[in-house]
Amino acid sequence: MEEDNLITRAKAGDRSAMGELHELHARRVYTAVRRLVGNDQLAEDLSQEAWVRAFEKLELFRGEAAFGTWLYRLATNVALNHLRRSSKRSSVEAGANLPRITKAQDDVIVARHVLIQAIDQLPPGYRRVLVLHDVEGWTHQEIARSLSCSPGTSKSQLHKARARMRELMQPVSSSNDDMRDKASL
Amino acid sequence: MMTCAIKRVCRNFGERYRQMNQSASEHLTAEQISELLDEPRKDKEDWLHLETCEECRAEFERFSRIRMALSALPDLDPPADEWTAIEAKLDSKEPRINQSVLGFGWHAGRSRLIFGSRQLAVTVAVFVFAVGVFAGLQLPGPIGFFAENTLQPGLTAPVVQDKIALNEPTELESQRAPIQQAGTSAFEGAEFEPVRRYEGRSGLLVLRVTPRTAAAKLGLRSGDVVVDAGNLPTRQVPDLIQAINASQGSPFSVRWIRDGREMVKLWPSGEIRPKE
Ligand SMILES: [Zn+2]
Repeated sequence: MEEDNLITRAKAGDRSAMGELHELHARRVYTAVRRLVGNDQLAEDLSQEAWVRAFEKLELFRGEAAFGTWLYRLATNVALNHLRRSSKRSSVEAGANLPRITKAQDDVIVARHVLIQAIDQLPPGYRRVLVLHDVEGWTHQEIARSLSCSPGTSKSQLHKARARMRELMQPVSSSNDDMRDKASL
Repeated sequence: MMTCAIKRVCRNFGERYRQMNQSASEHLTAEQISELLDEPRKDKEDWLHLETCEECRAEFERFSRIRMALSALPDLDPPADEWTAIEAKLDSKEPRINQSVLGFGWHAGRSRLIFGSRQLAVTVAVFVFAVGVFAGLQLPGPIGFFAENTLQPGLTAPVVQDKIALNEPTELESQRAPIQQAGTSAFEGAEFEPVRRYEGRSGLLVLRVTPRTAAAKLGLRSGDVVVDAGNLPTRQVPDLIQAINASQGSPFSVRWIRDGREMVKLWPSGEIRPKE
């Protein structure tokens, strides 16, 4: 396969082969990282970091999994490790003070930009479980293994995250239909 | 008189507060609704409430739509100059790279060699650990052996199966097109988008249905996820066309998920019914 050939050349330090591998997988890597970390600037840095690490460790890639899968795991690990480190640095939940979404379209199909804005506003701990499960399609088992927690914790975090998402997506100008009395809690 | 008025206000407030609390405790919480989304009949009482309470049902549907939209988020383009930036970083790291690659290559090779023999593995692991510490000390900066090691993909990362192939997003984009093939019927007038692993299955999310078209007659609504047509899984738009072709004009079943329930309908005739 052509990709195998590119990998062999990249292992030998061939820059153009590396560039081609990048072109093939750039979207998937960037997307996974971007969804997890919640902002463009950080995603750009970490996506680059993931690629640099991938090339540094390419020697270790023996082809047990598809290259794309290997790379995807590495990239999500780079993002998750960053979240872990930054959450230790400050216990203040990012996103707590961010402005609320001003207008949400509670249409049959959820407006995409509103959805993405809401994901980005989630506290990092909620965001990573929501993104891994609902966006990236990981199982609770997989998430638990990666975050070193129990599947039960992963589940309860997910439900809390979704509840928070729903709150963030609540239209400000709520119609009668939307008068669920959340304020009373 | 003054105190009387205050008392009345207080009483009124207390009354209202009680009412508010009561109605809040009767309804399902957001988290309960989210649980039902993943495990529909997990809690019979909650599910029963959902079936009878219009408000909670509407809320459940909102959750369901959010869930579906999440699973259908498209991939993003990195900045156009990403590769240039990566190359620059590779250039600046060159001397360090060789050193670390040596260390890891050795480590990985060793652990693979001893795979299968536990006793030996422990012994060698201790040795590898010691070498690791040594290598870590050798590396400049805070990113030593340990930081790197936690990132080793094979160790901690989950297995993500049936992940959409990596260069597919563009293909997905192109699929987001209405089906307008003449005479295909059944799905004509609907716009689809592939979703991954929605409730454990892949399918085609219905984005829009034009009224009075075949798709509308079939009973599709936006927000539905078509999972199967003619007993063939529908993961991509061409699967629908294939199902129609395979039917050769005879009736075939279409299966979709609506708000966590599976619906089946026979095309061109037959009732919509949730599957039990
Ligand atoms: Zn209710």
